[in-house]
Amino acid sequence: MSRAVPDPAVERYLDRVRASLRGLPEVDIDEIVLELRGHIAERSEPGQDVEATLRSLGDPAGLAREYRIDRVTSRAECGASPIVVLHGLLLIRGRSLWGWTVLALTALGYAWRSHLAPRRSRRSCPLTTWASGTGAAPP
Amino acid sequence: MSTIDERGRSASDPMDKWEVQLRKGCLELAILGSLWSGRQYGLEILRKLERDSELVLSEGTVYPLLSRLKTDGLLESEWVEAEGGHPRKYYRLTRAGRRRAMQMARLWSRFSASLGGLLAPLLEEGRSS
Repeated sequence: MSRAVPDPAVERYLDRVRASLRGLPEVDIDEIVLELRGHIAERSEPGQDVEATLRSLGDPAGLAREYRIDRVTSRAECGASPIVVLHGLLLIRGRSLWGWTVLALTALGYAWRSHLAPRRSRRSCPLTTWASGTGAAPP
Repeated sequence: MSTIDERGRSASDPMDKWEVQLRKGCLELAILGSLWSGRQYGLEILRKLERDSELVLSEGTVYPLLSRLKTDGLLESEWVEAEGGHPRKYYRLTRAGRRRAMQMARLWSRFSASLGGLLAPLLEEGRSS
């Protein structure tokens, strides 16, 4: 199988994504990076500035944060144990004050959902969450 | 300094924020819908969404969402070697994913119909003024 010569800008971008995903299972990180690498290669026309493709994917740390947030959201919505959710929150926290603020707010929200909000079944959870965002009643 | 788009609105415009949230909220349904007729890989889904909808704000929002839908058990994936040398990750709806897509589509249809009725007089007045 032929491989193109690695582009330094692409490698830098993917290294930053990989570094920002640290803490997730290695196999998951490898899959994410492999998928993004394929996207960048196919999206960039021959001879075109690859930077445009990277810009359209967004800041690598921000992209990694989206993966982390979606992972935690998925666990929390489906009623995972507090330990699992806390682990996920620590992963998305980062080192900044903003990260700690997000951690605190999300933990409060999770506590509310887990112990104060009416119980919902595991299967209907994501749909009811989506529907409640649009103000409609779940079927 | 905030940026101004081609419609003359700044990135911090409340209207833009509402639009961003609206698009994000619909993206999940749009992805499930785009996979209804068969498996597709990430860039195919992205191109379909770009062609058939105005939902994609940033390409970086689609891949994490695909990952979450897979974690939720609504999608399954497989790697397939491609001619260009980079394997493609194909996604397809699981049985639960098809059920969820159908439920969401029905809900959306009812929701948009009722909102459309509510907004019809407003839009009518807007056209005549």
